[in-house]
Amino acid sequence: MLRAEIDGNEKQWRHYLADFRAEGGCLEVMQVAFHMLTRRRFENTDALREVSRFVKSFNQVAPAEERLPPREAEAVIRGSLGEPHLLAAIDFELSGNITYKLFLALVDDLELKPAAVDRLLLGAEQMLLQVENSGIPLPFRDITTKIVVIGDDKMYWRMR
Amino acid sequence: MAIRKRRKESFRRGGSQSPGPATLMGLLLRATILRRPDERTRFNAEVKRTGGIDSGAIVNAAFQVAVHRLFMSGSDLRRIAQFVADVRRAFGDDFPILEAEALIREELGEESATANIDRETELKAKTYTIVGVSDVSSWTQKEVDDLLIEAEAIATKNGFNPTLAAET
Repeated sequence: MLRAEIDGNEKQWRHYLADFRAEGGCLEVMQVAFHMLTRRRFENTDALREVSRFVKSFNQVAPAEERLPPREAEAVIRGSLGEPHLLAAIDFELSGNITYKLFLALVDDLELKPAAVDRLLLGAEQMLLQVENSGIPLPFRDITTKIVVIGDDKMYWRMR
Repeated sequence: MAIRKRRKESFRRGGSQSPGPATLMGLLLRATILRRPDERTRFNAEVKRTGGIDSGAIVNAAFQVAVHRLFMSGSDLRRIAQFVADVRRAFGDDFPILEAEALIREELGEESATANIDRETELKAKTYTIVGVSDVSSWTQKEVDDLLIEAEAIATKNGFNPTLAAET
């Protein structure tokens, strides 16, 4: 479903979305992939300023109804980069939606090609399996299960 | 001018070791920073009773001075992030951490997302920040008074006329 959304393949996306809803799925793979992307995008930079710039850039090009609340969006990225206490200040559902939008924005910003997207999602799935096998609870499960996309009926707006 | 005169009178009367804030909000902030619950309750009631004219100007100025006492423009932003995380840990969820960090960064001239912060949240974020700066700096009463006197002077210079304590 994520790959279909990234590709902008609405027909396939709707097909997978139906399965996703039927099985009551959650988006932990996206959350893990998001974490991988935030590290790739912001590590080895003046991260805090770069995060602010990134969110500002997104909002400058996004239509008004698609813009992200900037403080919360920055907090979601920084939460992924190692400041989890910031996530406690944001409503779960809002955080989930922001994460999904930022995930797509990062894919676009990093100009990931289809093969790179596949590697990313595969890597995320493998990491998720390893984590689950280790018995360590995932800290973001509550967030990902409440992402509004599950109840929504349109694909997200994209930067590219 | 009225603030300075009131402060000198208070000092002459020997009411305190050093001249302190003269405004109602200055005194309320001092009681809050120094953890004097009885004084805080009394001044808080006074602020509510009088409407606390221009009280926000005192909080804004005290926040401005406090932030610049702890941080410098161009500071490593991780220091600010660590500070607000510490304040959150100390005071709990009531501290609006995202708004406080944004306001501190803005005060230091950083690009910052401060749009759509309502006045109540802003005052709360600024007050906790002032208290937090005092706590991490282990300020003495004199240092707290110096901060508040400076804040009152800034507010007056900016054209505000905050309620004086003895007028209530």
